[in-house]
This record gives sequence, C-alpha cells and structure tokens, in this order.
Amino acid sequence: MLLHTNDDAAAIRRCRSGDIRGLDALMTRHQVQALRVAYLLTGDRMQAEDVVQDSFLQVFHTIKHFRPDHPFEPWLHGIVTHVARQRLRGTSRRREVSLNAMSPVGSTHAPDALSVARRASVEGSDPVEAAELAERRRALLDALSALTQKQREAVVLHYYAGYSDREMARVLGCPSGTARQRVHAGLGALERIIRERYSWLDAAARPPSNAASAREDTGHG
Amino acid sequence: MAENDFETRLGPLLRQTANDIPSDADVTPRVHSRLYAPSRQWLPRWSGAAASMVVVVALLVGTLAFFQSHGAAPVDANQIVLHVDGVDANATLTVVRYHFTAPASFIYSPLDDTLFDALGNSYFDMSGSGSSQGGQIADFGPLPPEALQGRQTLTMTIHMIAVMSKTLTPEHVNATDTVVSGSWRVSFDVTPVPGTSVSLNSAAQTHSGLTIQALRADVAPNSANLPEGLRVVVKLSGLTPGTLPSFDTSNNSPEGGPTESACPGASGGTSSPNDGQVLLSNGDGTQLQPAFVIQLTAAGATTGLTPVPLDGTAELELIFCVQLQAPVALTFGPVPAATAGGASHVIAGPWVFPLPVG
Repeated sequence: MLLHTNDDAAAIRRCRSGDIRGLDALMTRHQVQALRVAYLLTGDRMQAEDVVQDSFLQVFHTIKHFRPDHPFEPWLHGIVTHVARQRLRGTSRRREVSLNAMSPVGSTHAPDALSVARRASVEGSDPVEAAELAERRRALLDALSALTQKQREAVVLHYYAGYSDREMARVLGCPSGTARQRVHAGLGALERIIRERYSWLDAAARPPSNAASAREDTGHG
Repeated sequence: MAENDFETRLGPLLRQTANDIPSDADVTPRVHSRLYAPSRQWLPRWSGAAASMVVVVALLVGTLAFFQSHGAAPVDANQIVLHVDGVDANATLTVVRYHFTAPASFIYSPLDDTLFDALGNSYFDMSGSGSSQGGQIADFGPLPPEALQGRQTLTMTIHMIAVMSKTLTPEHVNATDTVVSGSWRVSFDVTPVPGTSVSLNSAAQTHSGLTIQALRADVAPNSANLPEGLRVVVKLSGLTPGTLPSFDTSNNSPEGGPTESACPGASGGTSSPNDGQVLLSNGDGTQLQPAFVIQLTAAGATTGLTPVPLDGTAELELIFCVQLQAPVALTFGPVPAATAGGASHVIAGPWVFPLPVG
C-alpha cells in the first residue's frame, strides 16, 4: 500500500503555497485508488466521482493543516470516507420520498450486464464473460450496500485498501478495537448476505471447476 | 462456506469490482472547474445562520507586491480589501467569517491568517473552509475562559493571499505569480458564548516517568452558530526535550452518533505511528479522539508541532465537539516516548481522569 512518498511531500508543499499544480500531482497519484474506495463505499460511479471531487477540493482548502510528517493517503481516505458518509445520508433521505419506489431492489449506477455485453461485443471482447463480470460486480455492490455504513467502511478499508486495525482506527476516528469489531461484524454480515442472495457470487471466486458446479447448483444465469 | 475461505476470497472480489473504475479515470477537470467557479457547499452547517454581524473593512497597511499573471491585468494588493462578516466564540472555537473584495476576474484564498486578542496573544487557525470567492471561514483556537465572560476586541492579520484567475486555464497559473503579499489587518468585537469552567483537582498521574495532569475543563454550551463541546487543558511533564507532544486527532465523529456533531473543519484528522492516544469517554457510550490538539506555548498556541522545551513539559488544549453526558472521563495511553538518543518505547498507561462535566 502506497502511503507517502517524497513526491507526495513535494506536491503537498506546492499545494500549501496555493499552487494548484501540487493538487494536480496529488490527484494524479491518488485519485484512482480514491475513486475505487469511494465506488465501493457508495456503489455508484457518479457518486464516487462526486465524492472524490469534493474530497480533493477539501484537500486543497485544508492542506495547510495536514501534518507533513504523516502519510497522505490515509488522510485522503479519511476525507473520502467522511464525504461519502455525508453524501449517502443525503441520498438515503432523498430515496425515502421517491427512488425506493421507482428503482429495482439494490439498483446502482454500476453498468448492467446487458449494456456491458453489448459494449464488449462492439469492442471485440467476449460479451458473455464481460456480462458475467459486470453481474458479479453489481451483486457485490448490492451486498455491500446492505451492510451498515460503518461496517461497509470497515470492510472496504480493511479488505480492499489493506489497512490494519490501527490504521483504520485513524482513518475512521475510532479505537482500534472498535475498528476490528466493525470488520468482523461486516465480514459476517456480508458472508450471510452473499450466501442467502448471491451464492453464485462466492462460488465464482472459487477455482473455476468449483465455480461452474456451484453456478449450476443454484440455477443462476 | 467457511468464514476463513470467504475472507480469503473477499479481497479479490472487491478488487475485481473496484476495477470497474478504469485506471485512467480522471476527476481533475471537475476539480479544476470547481476551483475556478467555487461554491460554498461544504461550509459548516451553522455558517448560514449568521447572528448580528459587524462588518468591518480591513485596514490595508502598505502595498508590498504586485500580482502578475500570464496575459492578465496585474492585481495591486491595494485592490484587495478584507471584510469581516461575523465572528463567534466559545470555549472550543473562535470562528471568523470574512471575504475579500477585489477585481472580479480573480478568486482569492488566504495562505496565512492569525488571530490576536487585545493582550497580543495569538490563536492558531485550526481549519479554514469555504470558497475563495464566496467567503471564508477560519476556525481559530478558543479564547481563554476569562475572555469568554465579556466582549472582546480581536484582530485578524493576513500577509499572503493566493490569487487565481477565473479565466485562465490551470496550466497558466504559476505558483510564484499567484501570491500577493501585503498586510491586511482587521479589528472587530465579539461577545463570546460564556460557558462553565471547572478547575480539576485530580492528582497528577505518572507511568514510566511520564506525568500527566488534567488542569481545567471548559464546557461550551450549544448556541446558534457554534456546536457545544469541551476544552480540556492538560499538562505533560517528563517528556524528552526536542520531541513533539502529538496525539491522534480525528474527524470527531462519535461512535454511533451523528457526524454533524463534528467540529467545523475537523474532517480527516491526523495520525502518525509516533502519536499518542487520548480518548474522551462520554456517558452515552461514545469515545472520541480530540478534533484538535493545541499546544500552548509562550509564543502562542500551536498545533502540537512545537518541540518540547528543555524542562520537558508541555501544556495542551484538547478540543472536543460533543454533547456531553455524565459520566465523562479522559484517558491517555498508549503514549510513545522517545529518548534523547532517538530510541523510542511505548508507555501503556493508562492515565485516567474523570471529568465533572455533563
């Protein structure tokens, strides 16, 4: 996990002096990972882009308070997590009045399997494989969205971003034991959700022979 | 399926899903467009509810520099005028809202701002937010308890302002050309929200040569423009001279509680493996790291990055924005300790101080 580099330090110095090119350098190095973390937290590409955009704006405006002896990426991911949390609260409030009734269960802005298959066909890759991959992604995002926000943050930061309990505690602003507890609870809940709703998803992550038989067993697809 | 198996497969599943974001994804243009046409959407929630505000036009002292941009008209420091729109103060924060007026084709953002009271004491700018055109909010450290009891005259100074053109592309912005130097100074009055101050009689506690004593707790009640909270003043002694008395800070989001109770501008937090740990345990079961740790020195308040002096002592203000509920306690530990030779070890503690607040 890339935490902090000399290049970051130089970019942070420029950023602190008001030089937007310092921010550009930080975005170049960290935005893809930040987008992916935000995507897993929100389950929605457009929301992830909004979150990361707002996060880097916040970085630029508050960089003078960033301690240069500290790693940059956990600080950024703390901001991303915070902004995502705020944004999801707003989204859930809006959904209470309209979107729940209109959207399919667990609907996200992840590309659907059919459109991915069509695109793959145009691009010349295997449309069936592309559609299956899109379906797996969508199922995992739906499963993640069924966790509590705190569990989702812990699972993503630990199992995707690779943070230790102590690092997560710093990013989330909670004691290490609490972070560990959330990871454990989140893992258990996610396993149950996938087993009950998307058993083929876990099977798909197994070695190919197991995955194929499990997929047949569930009758999915 | 066994949990361990699932745990093993979860990482690859997450990575596979995250790869839906292509490696050439780029939000840079969106960030640029927001920087060049800023909005105020992430201002603290209470910022819009300005109480009676004193508008004061800053006194610009001297003209020290010109701004030259590529192909754009120069901006004279004299053209930039600082206005204070409002100020609020309590035991946890001193918040100043202000804006600049200047040639409309540029946007402005301060690079340094310092607050002074009538006695010349300085207050650290803990967090700034807002857009560079629509207005700025500076969150300074809190005034001492005696100053919270009546009207105070404060002075804010700014010596460097970043200036960005709204019409030039980012590629044309040059760091050395975007800073206007000058001396903007504005004085204004504020009537703080008076709180309650409690002298703590708790005895100093020592573990492995590190002594911590809780000296005072100042409670800030909820008010129209500021959240309620707590400032605890502690003294540490037995520290190694030259080291930094730093502690983890957080976005102050309570466990299981609403994020909205976080201190203004405290999102993200800071931490380092060399930081000590301190937690406020609230009666509602939440535990919080401080939103800010301010080191009090003879030179004024700092962020905790001032090296410990030769006497090995440091006095810190720990700022929490939280709705207090008894019983409340402050717990230090573990605290990394460095020797003069550079070797370090961790002192587990704990140092526990019940606080008669809430």
